[in-house]
Amino acid sequence: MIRDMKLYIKIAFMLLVSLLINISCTDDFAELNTPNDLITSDVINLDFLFTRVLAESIVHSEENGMGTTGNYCGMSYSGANAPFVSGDNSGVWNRTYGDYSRNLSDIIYLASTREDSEDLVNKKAAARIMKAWVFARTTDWYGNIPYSESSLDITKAISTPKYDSQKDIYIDLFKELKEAVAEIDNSKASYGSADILYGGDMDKWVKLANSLRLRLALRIRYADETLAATEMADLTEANLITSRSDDAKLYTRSEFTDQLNDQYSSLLQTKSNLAKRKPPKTFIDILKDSNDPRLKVFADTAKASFPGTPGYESIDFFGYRGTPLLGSAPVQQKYPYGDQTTSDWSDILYTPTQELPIFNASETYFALAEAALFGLKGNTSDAQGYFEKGIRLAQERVLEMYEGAKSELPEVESLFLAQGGGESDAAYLARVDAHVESLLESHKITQTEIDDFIANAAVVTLSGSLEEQLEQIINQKMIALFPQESEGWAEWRRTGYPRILVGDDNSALAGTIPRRMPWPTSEQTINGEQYQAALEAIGGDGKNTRLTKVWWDQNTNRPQHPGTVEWMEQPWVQTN
Amino acid sequence: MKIRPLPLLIKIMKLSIYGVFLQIILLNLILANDSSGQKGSSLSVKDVFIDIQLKEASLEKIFRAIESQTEYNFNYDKFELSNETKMNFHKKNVSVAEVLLKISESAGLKFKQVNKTINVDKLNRSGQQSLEVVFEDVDISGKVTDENGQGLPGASVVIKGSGTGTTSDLDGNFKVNVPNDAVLVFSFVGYLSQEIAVGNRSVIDIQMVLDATQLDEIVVTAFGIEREKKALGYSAQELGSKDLSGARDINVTSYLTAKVAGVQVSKSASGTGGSTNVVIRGNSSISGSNQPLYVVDGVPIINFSNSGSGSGLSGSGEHDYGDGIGDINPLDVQSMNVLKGPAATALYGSRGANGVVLITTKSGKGKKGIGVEINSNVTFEKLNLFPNYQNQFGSGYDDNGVASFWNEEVDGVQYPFPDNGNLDNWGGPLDGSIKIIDRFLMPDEEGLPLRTMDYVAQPKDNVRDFFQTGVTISNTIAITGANDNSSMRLSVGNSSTSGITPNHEIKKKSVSFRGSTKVNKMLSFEGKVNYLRTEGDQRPANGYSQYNPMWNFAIMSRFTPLDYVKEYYEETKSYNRPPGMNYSPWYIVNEIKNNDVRDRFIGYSSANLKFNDWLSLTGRVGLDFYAESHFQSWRRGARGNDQSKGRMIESNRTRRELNADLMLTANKELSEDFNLVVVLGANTWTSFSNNMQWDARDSKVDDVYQISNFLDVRPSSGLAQNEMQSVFMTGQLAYKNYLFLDVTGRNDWSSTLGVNNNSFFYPSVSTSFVFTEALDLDQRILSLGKIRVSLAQVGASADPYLTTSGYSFSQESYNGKPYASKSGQIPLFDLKNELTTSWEVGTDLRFFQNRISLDMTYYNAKTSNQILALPISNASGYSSEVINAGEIQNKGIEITLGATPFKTEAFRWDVNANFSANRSKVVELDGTVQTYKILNTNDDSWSNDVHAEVGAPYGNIIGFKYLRNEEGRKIVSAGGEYQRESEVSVLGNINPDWIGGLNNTFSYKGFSMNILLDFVQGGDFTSHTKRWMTQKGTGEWTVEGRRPVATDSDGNQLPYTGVLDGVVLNPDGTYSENTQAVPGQKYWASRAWNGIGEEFVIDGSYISLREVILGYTFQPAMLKKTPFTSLNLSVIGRNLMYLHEHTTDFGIAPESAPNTSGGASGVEALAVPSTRTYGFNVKLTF
Repeated sequence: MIRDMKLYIKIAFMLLVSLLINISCTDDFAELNTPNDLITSDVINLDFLFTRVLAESIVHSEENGMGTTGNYCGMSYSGANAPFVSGDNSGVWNRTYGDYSRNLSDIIYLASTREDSEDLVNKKAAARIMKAWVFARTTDWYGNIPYSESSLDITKAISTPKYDSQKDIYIDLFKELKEAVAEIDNSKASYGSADILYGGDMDKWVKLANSLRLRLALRIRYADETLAATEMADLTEANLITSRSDDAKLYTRSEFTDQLNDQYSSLLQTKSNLAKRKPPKTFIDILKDSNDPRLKVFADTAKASFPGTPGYESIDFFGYRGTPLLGSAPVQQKYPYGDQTTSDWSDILYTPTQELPIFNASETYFALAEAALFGLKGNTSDAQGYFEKGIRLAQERVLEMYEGAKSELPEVESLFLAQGGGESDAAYLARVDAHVESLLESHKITQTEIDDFIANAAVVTLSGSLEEQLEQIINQKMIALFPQESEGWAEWRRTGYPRILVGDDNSALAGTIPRRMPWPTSEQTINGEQYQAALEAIGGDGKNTRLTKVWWDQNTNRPQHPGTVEWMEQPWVQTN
Repeated sequence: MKIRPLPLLIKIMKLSIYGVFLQIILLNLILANDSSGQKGSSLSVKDVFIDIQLKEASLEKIFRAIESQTEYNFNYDKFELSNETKMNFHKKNVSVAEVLLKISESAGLKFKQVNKTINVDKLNRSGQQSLEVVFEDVDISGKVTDENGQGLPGASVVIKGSGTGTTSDLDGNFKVNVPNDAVLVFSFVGYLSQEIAVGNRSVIDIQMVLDATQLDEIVVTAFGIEREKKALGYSAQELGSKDLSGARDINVTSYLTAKVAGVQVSKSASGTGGSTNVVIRGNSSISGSNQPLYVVDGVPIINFSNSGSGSGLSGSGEHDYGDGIGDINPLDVQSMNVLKGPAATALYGSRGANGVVLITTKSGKGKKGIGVEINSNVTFEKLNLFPNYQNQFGSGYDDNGVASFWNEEVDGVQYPFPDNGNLDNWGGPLDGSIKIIDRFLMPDEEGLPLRTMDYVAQPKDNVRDFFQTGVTISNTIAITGANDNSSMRLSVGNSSTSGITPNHEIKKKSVSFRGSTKVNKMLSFEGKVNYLRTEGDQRPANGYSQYNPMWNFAIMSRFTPLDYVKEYYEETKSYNRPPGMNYSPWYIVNEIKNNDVRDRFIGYSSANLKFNDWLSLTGRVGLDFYAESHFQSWRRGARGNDQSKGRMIESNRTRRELNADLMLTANKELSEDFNLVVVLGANTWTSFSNNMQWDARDSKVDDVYQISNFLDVRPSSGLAQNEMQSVFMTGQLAYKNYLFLDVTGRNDWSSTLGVNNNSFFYPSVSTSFVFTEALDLDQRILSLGKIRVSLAQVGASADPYLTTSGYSFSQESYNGKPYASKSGQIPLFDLKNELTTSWEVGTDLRFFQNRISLDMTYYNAKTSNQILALPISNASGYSSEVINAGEIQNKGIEITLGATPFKTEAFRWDVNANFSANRSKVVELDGTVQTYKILNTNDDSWSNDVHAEVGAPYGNIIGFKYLRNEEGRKIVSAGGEYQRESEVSVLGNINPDWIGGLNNTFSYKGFSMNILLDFVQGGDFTSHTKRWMTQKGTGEWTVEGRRPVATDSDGNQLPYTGVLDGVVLNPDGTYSENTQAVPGQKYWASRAWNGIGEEFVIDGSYISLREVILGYTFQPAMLKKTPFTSLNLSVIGRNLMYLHEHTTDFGIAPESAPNTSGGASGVEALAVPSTRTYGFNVKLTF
């Protein structure tokens, strides 16, 4: 027993000692608390960050030409009451701040602080240009936004960033774009093929930066004409995006769900059951009124009879007919804009590969035309030439779109057309092919048509008062901007064009079109103090609405908006 | 049926002898009074003195005189007494013997004293002894059984007034030699003492009755240290076998429902097999888990939560795969003890910060030989509250027939054609007055000419038919065996449950082996291995997701014939989309598969080394390990891009937790008055988890679910590990059994904290003062009175990896170029521990020999340095920031009342009530941020999120209120709709004002009836069932205000009838009564369309008839001729009905949280319908 006791005490002692040794051993804690797969800032490849942010911000953006924002410039029609429903529209905000601005700022930070920062100037410059584009869009949506205190390095991050005035943001964006261009050095490395936008061609980045400056300068011309003119002064046509090959654009891809064309994606899901999206009345009318060859590429004709409605029994063909914004007027009072009486977007927009531009050459020319017309840059007499070039480039882009769709249409149509019960595969394929052929025929656009249009169409010649000429420019510009909805909306807010008809019954907005997006509700709770300060800056309570104007929205000369939609008992009248 | 081989018998005898020996010593210590060495209580007639003054007294008179002054009784035959004999006595202080001897001489009688009886007889012949004093003992044997008829070992059997006695053996049998007039007192911890007069009996079988109030209750506290309840300086509430009787639910936490003050148990409304949320004394952590630590047989187990995140509320359709505690077989549980405050849990450290639930499983200890226990039950689950669908209006808008449909021609006539979209039910009456195109075609009817159908309502209860009766069958067989050195219990459990949703099944298996052995006087071993397997099949999807049948029902057109939808599925087995529905519910439950399997081992082994009678060392290693796999699949053609070409997701998770403890225990009586217990210990805890997931899309061959059959496979992985080292001590000093002082201290080193802050210490002190004993108060009214006070701190550590930041790669790429992204979380390099500081005072009062007991506690706790990944304004460029700053405060009261209002031999009525109220307050976040979103519903149009806001209670529901004027009238827009305010405000709070339980137990002989009521007052939630059914016009409540017919008999439009109660704003700024009549969608749906969150917040108060159990326990005597030693039958009803709630109009149960993540109790999201359960239970042993 005594011997046992000694043994046990020995064992117990050893156990105690081993446990105590174990406890004192906390040296490996730091290692233990670091994930095995952690990638730290000293090893991260900037190329990987840049590729992703380019693809996400351009391909995975909400700009698909059939969204909500397009309602506000006649570019799209999203149906039901969507454009007028109040509430957060925080998509752009969340993507900018939750992703793009952090990653772009990080590239800029790393490229300036790494040992080899001198060799990273081009990578830094491209990131600065993209960041300027991202923030320009965000401030255009929301007005005053956090900028100078946003997206700082992780060790200096400010969790409740203050809101900067839009004017200050614009001044800084000009500075950033200018500095980025200045630091570009063709002797230094670029992103190369990781630069999925320009393949590492830094000259094109210079053009993009300058073209963005042109865009932003024009945008503020009603708010600060002097600054607009100053910014435009050192831009020459040579260093702007002036050809299709300069265009800043990516294409949707089928590889990943996020990179799919939204329309193709809906089609994949619902196939022949797909309820197709509608083009808006404004968009259709601009093209229809001028016999624009692009109309048939973009849209289908309305297809169904409407025999159920008294007075319209005999109408069995509506041709190209856009859908107006009706608000929520009672159905029985409305002019019958039923499913089958208005145009659908054409199947060409449903192909997997669609161009998603952030800046096209046509926009440069429309901008130059306006700048010339209003004496900001160049001579008034240059306006017509620029205008024509803009239209030509825009037309040719649509021709390219049509040509590009040819190879992909069979797949699209096989999704639209269900194989009938008992129909053989061969018969089905033949039916699809026949359908594709007839589609390509009815939606065809040719270079001849384009040349003919430029040579003969009345709309290609600027005429009338300055304001009338502006309307002509912006109408064409909106079509050319498709599918950049945010840009279209900014143009409408700035100039009041194109004119949009809105039903008078939408309670939240009283028949008006939004002038900005409210800051997300979450800001009120999560960044309360700065939110309140920002609210005071724009006029206090009740101002975080869609009707509050942003800083550059100061055109006192805008046409009156909106008109009313025709009722059943009234003839169609184009009012202001 | 007992097998007793000889060796076993010998060992058992040995053990019995030791046991008896030990018991006798103990009893002597506790009970010994001034014993003269005599057996029995009687004194000899020679030792009893009386005063006697009698003249000419008859014998009878003399006897009576003696009787009046002593305890003696004379026993004689009247007729044998000579009436002639008259005697005189004039003596003071004379012994009774002397008197009797005199009588013997005079009257020729002899006397024999047997104990207290003096037998009188004739003295037949001289020489006979005339006075004999005999103290005659009788042998009494018998059996002490517990409430179930099981032998109760170690029960004390004491002769009243003497302090001597015996204890029962391992089978509960006892044998005692007592005076035949003795009264035996049977007692055992936890049972009511019983006094039985021996009388003429030689056999006394007694069944002990549980003491509801348990005066000297022994409770198991931290690290398995057994304490007398009165010694505790903090609140702990134990549930013994009585509270755990009857099978209720396959999740053991249901035992706690409404039984323990301060404990809120909410079951996830995700169908059977889902998780449970247990919160003790309110939510103390803003972002972390607020669930207690579960400690099974001394070893903490992993209570993982698989219920999905709050984001599952919208869209993704997550499944609740159950929680860690849900694996434990309820029928293996012997007792549960809830340690509530930090003082009670301090020794468990960080992980006990939210309270600890100690679970003791059954062991073979204390039952000699081999015994078998069988427990079987069958329960049925049926629909309870069910959403109320309207049956009067069909698809469309403007209360107007089907005007929004387009038309198709049949036989030259145009008929409305119902589209496939989600058609809102704001159309005309479903009265059959019109016909529409019949879209409900079977496959063989497709391609035929179009036909029409009447536009009519479907049977009102058509949705109910989708559900089935759930059935649970569960069986557990346990074999126990013990001898004097070893004991073991082996149990095998099996349960299979089918839920109310078709194909939903949960199967559980458990094998548990627990044993202990004593090598010699010093060394003993104990161990347990528990294997648990849980299999789930087709668990229903949560949230407003297309995969949730309840969502599809909530938004469908009310003219949809569900019979058709079902038949169509059965005929084609294919995905179809009936008009107005996203998914056919039958397709969901049959073709979109999900299943899961978890294999889990929980075990421990421990060794105890007893150096002497006061010092021992225990070493223990515990392991909890599980491997789990989840599988989901979609057939080719399912909706959605990700799965349209077939998809499967397989994920494998493993997790391991290892606990190693070493404890040195000293328990020494320092003097007669002082007793000291000191425990020094050390603990190492390591945790490791690894998840691997493969998301595979685009199958090569349809319906083959093997990863390699897919073209697009996306793997992902997650690994987490952490480690904690601790040393701790606890000291308990007891003075005279009425004043107790406890001190604990613990230091933790955690790997998850900042490298310079990874060590933290926290102490506690608690005291208990039993004033009734200290002041020696009259215990007839106040039987026990105790005051307790404690002060404690508990530190808590963090999740791993909050101190680092980096970049992540993603699966996606563009044109083959890789993607990387910077993490959006700002880490905290110097992360410190959280610290809870609390104090509590309480009292424990027992009245009238425990007929009434009252336990009250007030506590106040604050948790500071909260570790949370605080979501910050994303305008900062980051989504969240790890902070170490928040503070939350909880204070509250807990009251437990026990009473036995009525008690006779046969009938007994016990009442147990508890009440608790907790008030929380978020004192601070990080100084700049004022609110933290606990639950993000990720709903852009309107939110009703759950927040922790500075200055407010935890769990405010934040959303939009109705726009009202100064007088509080709702403002109606020019368009005739309600509007919302432009900024969010507080719409409610998820926490109840108070909760309570009332348990009534009636027992009559072997019958018992148990009725448990569960009370919850207050606590709001957002109902998404109400929201969707309001938005889509499917709710019965949306009938009000709609135009019953659109046109009169002449075909003229009739005006709308619904005028919203409210005012309209006049151009001059005044308000006038709203008079505008509007169509149904403006009257109802616009409340949802316009995002008026206030409309959908519902008061969650309720009173639930939680359970009713009617049981019968056979008396041991009735089972004598059977092989059984005990048999109990019961009928069980659970969640039978709500006696009170605010949700009847909508048909939603007030407890319908979809999962158990923080704040989720504030949301009902198209919950699996509530159910009631009833069934039978048989428990027998032999």
